[in-house]
Amino acid sequence: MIGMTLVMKGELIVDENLIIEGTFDGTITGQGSDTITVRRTAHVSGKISASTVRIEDGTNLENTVLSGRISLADT
Amino acid sequence: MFNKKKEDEEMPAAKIEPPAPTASDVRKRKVSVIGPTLKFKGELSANEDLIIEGEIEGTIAHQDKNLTVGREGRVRADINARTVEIFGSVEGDIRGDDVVKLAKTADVKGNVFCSRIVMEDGAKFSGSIDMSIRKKDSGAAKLTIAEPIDRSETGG
Repeated sequence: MIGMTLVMKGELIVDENLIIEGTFDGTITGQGSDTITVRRTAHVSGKISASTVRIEDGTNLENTVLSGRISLADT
Repeated sequence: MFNKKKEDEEMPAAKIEPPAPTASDVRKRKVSVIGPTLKFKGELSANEDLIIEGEIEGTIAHQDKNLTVGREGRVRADINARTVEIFGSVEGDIRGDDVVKLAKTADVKGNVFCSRIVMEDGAKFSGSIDMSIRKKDSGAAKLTIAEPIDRSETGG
């Protein structure tokens, strides 16, 4: 869980479900069959690669490349 | 029957580990958790409490909030926070504006800058301690050794 006030710049490798509510600038790589959920409060730029990337309606994505199974979800 | 009662009386009280924080607990406490399988390299800052159970390399700027390195946490970074609690391993300098606590499972290689420090018996520490910094609202520095740390504060 990356909380709303958390700011991360860099490279993140994850092998569990992850929820992003804060700011992330960089590369997120999901190694397993896990879901990365990007909440509408999040500000993400960079690259997210995971088995499933769940984007909530209204999320602010800038210059972001998503790869994997992308799902858009209402909150 | 009577023997059982006697056994119960003689048995020391079972040590109950605090339950791991649930998602709702985390939300209520406004805490971010870097999970045990997460590996992060870069800059990290936050304006909320943070629990690190994964692997962090880089810099952690966490002023005015509490930072906990959990038992599984592995940090190679300088840490700057209000309260710092270490249950895992840290390589880097630790600056705690309020207090730095090293649990018995802690393994720290680096220098500690703080106004108060608590080291539990069994903690591994290699470095220096500078207690010349002062908390904004307090007076003299204070050293406490071998005081038990309440694990329930960290939620696991």
